[in-house]
This record gives sequence, structure tokens and C-alpha cells, in this order.
Amino acid sequence: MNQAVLTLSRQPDARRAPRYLGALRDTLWFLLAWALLIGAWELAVQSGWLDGRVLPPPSVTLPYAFSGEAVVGFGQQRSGLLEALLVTLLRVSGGLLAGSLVALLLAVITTEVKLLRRLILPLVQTLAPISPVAWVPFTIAVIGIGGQAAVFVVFLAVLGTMTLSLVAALDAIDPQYLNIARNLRCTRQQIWLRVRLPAIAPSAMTSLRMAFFGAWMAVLAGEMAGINSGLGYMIIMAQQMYNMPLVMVGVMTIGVVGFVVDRLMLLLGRRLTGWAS
Amino acid sequence: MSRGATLSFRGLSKQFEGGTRVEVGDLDIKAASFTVLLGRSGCGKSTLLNIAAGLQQPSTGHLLYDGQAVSGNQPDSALIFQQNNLFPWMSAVENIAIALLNRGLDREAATRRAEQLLADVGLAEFARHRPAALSGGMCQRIALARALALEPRLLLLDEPFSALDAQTRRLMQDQLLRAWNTSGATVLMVTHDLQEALLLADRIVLMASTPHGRIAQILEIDLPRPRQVRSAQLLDLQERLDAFLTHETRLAEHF
Repeated sequence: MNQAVLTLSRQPDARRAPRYLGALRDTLWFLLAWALLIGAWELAVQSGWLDGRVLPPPSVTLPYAFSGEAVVGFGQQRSGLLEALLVTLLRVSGGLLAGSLVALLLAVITTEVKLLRRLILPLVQTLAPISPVAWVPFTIAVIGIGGQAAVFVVFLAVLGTMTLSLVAALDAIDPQYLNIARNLRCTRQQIWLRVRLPAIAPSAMTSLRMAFFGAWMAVLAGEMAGINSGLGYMIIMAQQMYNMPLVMVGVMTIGVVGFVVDRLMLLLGRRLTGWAS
Repeated sequence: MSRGATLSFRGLSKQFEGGTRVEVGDLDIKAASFTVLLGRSGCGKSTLLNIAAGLQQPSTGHLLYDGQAVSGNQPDSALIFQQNNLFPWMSAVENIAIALLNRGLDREAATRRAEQLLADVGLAEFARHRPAALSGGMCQRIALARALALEPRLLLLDEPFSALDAQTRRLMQDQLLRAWNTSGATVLMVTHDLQEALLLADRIVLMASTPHGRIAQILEIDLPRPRQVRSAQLLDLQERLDAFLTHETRLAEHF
């Protein structure tokens, strides 16, 4: 028995070393890939191969990003990079949260009531593939222009795909778990809270990460349509003022922040659903 | 402890989409008996068990539980499958405690009782482990402990030891016999392992898969326990059953 305890407690440590090294190696490759691209870019501009006015080189863009001058607008509409980023992140989280919660609600309803499943799922299946950008005119007409319009576009972008993937995850639960839960006299509520939701948590986390990508793209589309704040607005304004370094800073920020948020969600998911790995 | 339930199948059959059919007809299972459904895959033994558990509905006929017609989940039954009995997202102790929450215990009392049940099967130190960190045999012991925590009058087992190695299987069989003795529950168990059937059962319901799922023969095994695999009587029975199952396989596999 002691032997078994020893083996069990040693196992995670034995695995940690190579995993830690693997993560380090991945990070180094990641940095190398970017260093190569940035170096090539700088070189291409310096050698006259690329036009630095259209594609400002890293030597211009990077100092500019941290100079505090990466700002658009005047007076009330003046918006710095950090501020724009925060506003956009807030909109994405709002839309993502609302979209996911409504999707979960729809998934629960369509699982519990077969009639509603037959009525709701065909609608979701047809609406889900519509690009969030296509909703922008409709959104402006209904909600008007302003921050809530961008949140609503994100909400629409998330709702359809998230509903479909949650329904699929619920359908994929091994029926044996539900049989066992019923045999253990679990109530309907307990089956949801202690069996179904934990069972779909790993795939729901993956869906949420995918939904974040969609939301991150949708919010910019929303912000480019007549809203006076956020990263999308910043990029459009910078374009109109032909401030290419600022466009570049905006684009790079979108990429870096999107990447970081995705990694954080991945870590969070592993934390919450460690049993699945 | 509770006395075992009686179980009677009356005119039972199950028709599946795609043409597969299981004809059971009548079958009576006595209170506190140990009945084994034995047969090769496709003979309908799991179907019969699932109907007994209320997980599947028969196409014709019905089921009497203590003489009363029932449908749906049987009130005092406990189920153990071949694997995945435990929820992988819960620790060992949580897996047992969830069964107790609905028997009038609050969370704290359920956890304490679950820890005690784990200790009874010798797994106290694994209370916080998740199933993935435990062996198949440990998981089945926990599943058995949990099933007994329900104080079932009917214990339904679907190939519970098939995924275990021979040694673990033997120890689990002993543990099951002890649990059956002390609980007084009626046991209905599905297996395709002929030796297991002979070691455990009062009665073997031998099932055939051709031309459709059906009961071929019922054998009363009136031998004292613990039984020895190598005893003359068991060897004789084993030979007869083996001949039958081989014949069945020949037909089903078109040898």
C-alpha cells in the first residue's frame, strides 16, 4: 500500500521536469520566430525593399508605442492606447460573458425540453454562420451607435457558435454517467450542477477560447462603425490621419493582447478542469 | 440490513431498431439470491439487466418488483458497470458522498460517512484522489462501496470485473460475495466469464444469441462457497457450459 502511495505522489513530479523544459523550449521558439520576422522587417525597410512610410519598421513603431504619443482624437474624444485597449477589453468581456450565459441557458433549455430543441436549434444553426460584421447596420439601427452597440455585436458573434458547441458537448456526455446519477437518486438540479456541467466544462472552456477569438474580431468591426473609443476606433482614426505607426501599434496590440488572453484562458481552463488532462 | 427484493419478468421481449430481438419470456429471481446472466455478446444479457434497472423499457411484457409492476428507475436498486462508474471530476470521497446526499445526510455528514466507507474497503488514504489516479480495481471497490451505501435491495452488476486483471478480479469476487452475504440484497450480475459465473452464482441463466437473444437454459448451482475452480463438480459444469458457448459461437460467427 505504501508503495502505491509513493508511486502516485511521485508521478506528477517525474512528469513536471520535461513539461517545464518543453514549455521553455516552446517559448524560445516563439521568441525566435518573432525576432526573425522583426529583424527581417527592419532589414527590409533599411535596405529600401519596403516603404517605411506604409509599413513603419520596428525601430519606429516600438518606441512610438511606449512614448505616450500613441493617441488619437482631441478634447473629449482624445484616446490613448492603454485607454482604448481597456475600453475594448471591457466590451469584449461584456459581450462574451452575456453571449456565453445566454448560450448556456439555451443549451440547458434545448436539452431539457425536446419541443424547444426542435424549434430553437434550426434557428441557431442558420443564424450562427452570419458574420458579426453583417449585424453592424442592424445593430446601429436598433441600438444606435455607442459602446453598447459594440458589446451587442460581440454578443451576437458569440451566441450562435457557443450555443451549438454547448449543445454538442451536452449531447456527447456518456449516457452511463447520467444513468449512474439517476441510480444514485440525484435530483434534476443535481444532475445539472454535479454531472452535466462538470462533464462539459473542458470542452466548454475550449469553446470559450474559440469564442474569444470571434469576439475579439467582432469588437473591432463594431468599433470601426461609428464609435468614438476603443482600439477599432483608434485604428480607423489613425488611418484617416495617415498615421501609419499608430495603425501598426494598434494592430500589434490586438495581436499581442489576443494571444495573452488566449493563454490565460488556457491556463485557467487547465486549472478548472485538471481531471480531463 | 434490508432484505433482498424479488424480481419477475413476465412475457418480456425487446425489439431494437435494425432487427435485433431479445425474447426473454418469464423469469423469476428469488429474494436474496445470486443470479448470473451468462452468454456471449449479443445474447441480450445486458438488455435484460438494463430493463431490470429501469434504464430501458421492454417492447412487450413487464417487470414485477416485489410483485408490483414498475417502470423507470427501481427504487432500491444499485448499479455497477464494467467501468466509468465514478465521475472523473470528483474525488473518491465525493463520488461516494453524492450518493448519500439524497439519503437525508447533509454535506458534512455525507463526507464523513463516505470517508468511513472508503476506509472499510481499505482506501482511506485515497479519499482525495480522482479516479484517473486510481487503478481499475480501486475504482470498482469504490463503486461497490458506493452501491452498498445505498443499502440496495437489488444489486445490478454489468460485467463489473471484466476490465480487471485475473488476481484483482478474484479478490473483487470475494469482496462481492461478502457484501452479498452481509447486505442480504438480491444480486443480478451479467458476465461472459464462465468461471466467474460458476464461482459466484446460485443460479446461472444461460443465454443464447441465435436465432435471437433468448434464455437457453437455467442451471441451479447448489454448491457450498467458497468454491474451488478445480473441484470435480465445477469442472464438469464448466465443460458442459463451455461446450454450449462454443456451439453458440460457432453459429453466431459462422465457423
